[in-house]
Amino acid sequence: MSDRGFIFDYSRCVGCHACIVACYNQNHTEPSMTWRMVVNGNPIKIPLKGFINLSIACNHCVDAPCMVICPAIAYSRDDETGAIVHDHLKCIGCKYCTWACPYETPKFNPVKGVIEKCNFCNDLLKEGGIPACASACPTGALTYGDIKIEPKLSKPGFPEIETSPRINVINDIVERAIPEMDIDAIGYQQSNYTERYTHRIRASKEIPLIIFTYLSAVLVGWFITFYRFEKISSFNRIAFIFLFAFAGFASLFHLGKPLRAYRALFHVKSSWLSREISLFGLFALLSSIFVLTGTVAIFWLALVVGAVFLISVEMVYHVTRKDYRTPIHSSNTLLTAVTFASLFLISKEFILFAVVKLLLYLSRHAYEQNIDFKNILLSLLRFLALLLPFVVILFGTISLITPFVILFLVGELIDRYEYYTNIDTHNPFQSI
Amino acid sequence: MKEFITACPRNCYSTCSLVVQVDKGKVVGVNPLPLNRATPFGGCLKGLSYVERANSPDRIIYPLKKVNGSFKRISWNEALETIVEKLIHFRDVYGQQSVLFYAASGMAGLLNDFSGKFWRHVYGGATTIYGNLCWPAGLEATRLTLGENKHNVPWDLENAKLIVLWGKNPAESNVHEMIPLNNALDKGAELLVIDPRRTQSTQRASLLLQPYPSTDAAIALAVANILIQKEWIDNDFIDRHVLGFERFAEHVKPFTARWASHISGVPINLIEKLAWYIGNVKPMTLIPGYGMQRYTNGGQTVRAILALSVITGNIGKPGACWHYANLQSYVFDDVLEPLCYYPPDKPDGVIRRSISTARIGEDMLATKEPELKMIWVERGNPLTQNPNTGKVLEAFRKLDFRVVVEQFMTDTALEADIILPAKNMFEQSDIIGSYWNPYFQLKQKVVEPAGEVKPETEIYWLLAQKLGFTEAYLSQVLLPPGDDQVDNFLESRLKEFNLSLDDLKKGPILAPGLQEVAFSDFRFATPSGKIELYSDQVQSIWGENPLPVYKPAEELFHNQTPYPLFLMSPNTKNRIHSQFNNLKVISMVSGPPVLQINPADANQRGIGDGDWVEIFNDRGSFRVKAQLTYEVRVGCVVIPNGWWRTQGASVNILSEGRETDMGHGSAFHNNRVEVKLVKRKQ
Repeated sequence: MSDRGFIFDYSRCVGCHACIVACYNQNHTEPSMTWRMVVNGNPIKIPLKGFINLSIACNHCVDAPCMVICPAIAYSRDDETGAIVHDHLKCIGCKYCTWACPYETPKFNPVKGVIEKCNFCNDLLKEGGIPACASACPTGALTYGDIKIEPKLSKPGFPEIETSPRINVINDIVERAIPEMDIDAIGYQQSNYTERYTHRIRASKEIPLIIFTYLSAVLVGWFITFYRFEKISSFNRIAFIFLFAFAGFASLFHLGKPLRAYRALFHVKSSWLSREISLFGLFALLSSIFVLTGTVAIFWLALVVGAVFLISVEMVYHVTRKDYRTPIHSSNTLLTAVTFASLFLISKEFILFAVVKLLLYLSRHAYEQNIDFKNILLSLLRFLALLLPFVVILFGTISLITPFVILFLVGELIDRYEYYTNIDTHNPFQSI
Repeated sequence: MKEFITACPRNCYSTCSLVVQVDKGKVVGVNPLPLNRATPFGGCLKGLSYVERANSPDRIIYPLKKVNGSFKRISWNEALETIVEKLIHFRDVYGQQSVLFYAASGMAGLLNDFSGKFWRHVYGGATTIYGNLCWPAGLEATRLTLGENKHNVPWDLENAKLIVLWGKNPAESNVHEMIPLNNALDKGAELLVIDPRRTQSTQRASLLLQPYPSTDAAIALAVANILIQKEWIDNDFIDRHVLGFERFAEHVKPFTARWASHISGVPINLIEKLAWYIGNVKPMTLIPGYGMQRYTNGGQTVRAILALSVITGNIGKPGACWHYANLQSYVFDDVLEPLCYYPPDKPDGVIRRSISTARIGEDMLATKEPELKMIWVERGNPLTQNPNTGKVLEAFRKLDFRVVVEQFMTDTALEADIILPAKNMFEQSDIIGSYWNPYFQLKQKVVEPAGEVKPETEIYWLLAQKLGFTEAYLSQVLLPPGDDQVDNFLESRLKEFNLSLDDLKKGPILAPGLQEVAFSDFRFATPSGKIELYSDQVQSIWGENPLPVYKPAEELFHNQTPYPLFLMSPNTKNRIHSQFNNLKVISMVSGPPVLQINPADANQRGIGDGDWVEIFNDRGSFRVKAQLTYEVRVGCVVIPNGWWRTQGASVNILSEGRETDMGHGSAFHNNRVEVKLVKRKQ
């Protein structure tokens, strides 16, 4: 495999977008879809700060995270050119790769329901040509040729993650080129500018995932309480299985191609998402058998699978950047499962779990800067949802437990929603 | 798939050489042609967008007629019959002068001359346009000072040690100039920029001066004063080649940095620093833009800035030039710009050049004996690009009959009674020069015209036939239809330089007689044979001071104006004037129109980023989204020109029809406005 790739010169890129039009001509992308992006640094030209532009598409990383994490094996590498190629016919539209790629390369096409991405103009490379964007760059800022592959680049706009991208970057020193100018003519005051940060992962767009992971925790917690098999009412048995079906169904809404959902099981070897889905299925199967038969051995087997399943749920999120500083999030699914189980069993362990959750919640919010009324109200609800059952269990007024379980469940749902506002993709472009 | 060498015929500095890929009769790719040393890496985003432009489903490919307010496809026969009937009617009832022939810079080429020939020799006259919207004030200022408009070849910029971008933003308007510019900076040159905006081109600048628009002459005069006082001038060069230096030196004495600072808003120390660089770092290439000469003081502004190159001896040497316009490749033209923009001294009665393009709306309405009844528009979009568009529209609507030759449904096409489908650059061969690089090039026919498109030369031929002229007469004055005829004509023009079309099919040709370093022979085609800092002609032709002066631009410095903001309407990389933004890929890149405003000015008006605002003055108004940015200095707002009215921000609705002080240019940058909040961002 040749060490060839993109060479990008920060001192030559004027942000002209010719690369994007060249890509459009070559690959027939449909606007507003573009496989290549031009990122403008310091877009509002804050004085005493330089500005640079970055033209970026897929860097066809030697250690491509997209390939590792794709549950459906839609990505493959062309060993001749090094191109990481995406097969839209295999894609299930789960968008997991858009989280894992630190270059925002995979683009979800909502019309087609699948991912699209730069293919290195692989056909041109095989004919001895170079990618259309590089051959079209009118200033010579983007070229293609021999490069030295480094695990990471440590350049502005590039991530700290080691993916060994096929790109070399030169002359980033122009970022520090600042002309002598008259600040008064610009009327700059620190106070009239607030830096804006746009989240790429947005909780409001991830409702199916929120419901799925939340119900997963609830289901495992609920299942723990089934160790006293004789006490499960038939209503509870039906409700449990129904809730399982609902969680699985909800997760489908997350996919661009729900009919290809079976493909999510294909990549257990390296994709945590694939493992999560497989374990979910296995846990569903085992727990249902137990609920219907009451075989003790099955119970313990299912419990272990359930625990591993929740670990895989957590591991799916290892590709994201965490914006909270606590070791685990207060809505961690394992923690939620045991907390719920202990509450349902009216066990004193609940006090321990609730305290841990509260501490995690509090220390996460200790750093918060924008506090508005809605946040205070939600936080209050969170407190009540944990504190009231706490008090009830401590002082033993057991008869009131059902409303407090419901209150607890509402509080946990809020917390799970918050989780998706506390994570984001690696977003190095916002730093230039 | 076949490949052809061609060139981009847009009104643009770069005039790129391109390799076009054609497959099954369609343009499928546009690639670079490294043979052109000025555009070695290929065209810009617009050049690349020809793939969409050539195949766009929005293209007009049949004659259209307006019926009850909407357009209906008609046959060529019906279109031509209708036009001929009108032409005969207007000629017989009102005279030929009741027809206005309007052509602009939409597509360059030698064949365009046949349009004028039709109106003169076939129709027997028409009212036409004089002047030009773009660059005449600077051309005339340069012509009167240096004798000619030429500069060093683009790649000579690499030899400069000091590069001054005075009101030019090549990163957007001439992206290929950034190649030698960056190479020069890599070799240690310094870059200075004078521009109210902190543009992309300032990225690697050492110094940025942000004056109020139109005050550049004040800064230049103050810099000249400092240069002379400090003796940072080239006395030897001045003695040998410059006329009027003593008078100039005396003249600039009162123009201190303090005076210029007061007028321009640029701090004294930055003006002094600019002077230090210009006086002490050589060789200097001074690159003025075209925007700052579109003011009523534009010609004098350019004369004042040019004086800095002159007194420091930065003319006629490698790395040293006045980089305004390079007409050395216009070898086929009898009369070069700006002289061809003059109305004729003695109108011969056939062509009456009575209408200034700068004041087209007002002048169309004022034209009497005969009044205008019909307009023919080709290669232009006056209802977007000409100043005071509201007036132009009024004048258009007052006419009885309008014919527009167009590729797309522009603001002007929408007002037509008949639209004739226009050829694109791939459908007829022609030869084009460049006003920046030193080549002339073949723009080759590579595909058959789409639908029923006919080139203008053919349209005129058919019209002339319908007007009853014999083929024998017509072949004397017009070009008969057919590719062979085009090739024969082009071959006949090339013969004078011992060249053939086959030569041009291999790549761009350096203009015969080219000076790579302009004025390296130190011959100046002025009356005195010297560089005229003092020019009698400035006074005799234009009634202006023979020495460069600063005169406040009209409208801009009235103390009690209700319109406090300077409106700038620069060009953007996304368009050539009003072309290209209708394409999907270009509109994706450009986004919707926005008004750029400094956050300090926005705060005063309660405007936030993304809010809807109204921009207005006495001439008109429209609504647009605000974009808060420190790119623009306080007191200025920016909307690039070329948005169509149907796209939402046709900026010339706000500009006034005025001529520049020299050259019959258009002073449509003299423009003040106010902005108010209309609706908060959702």
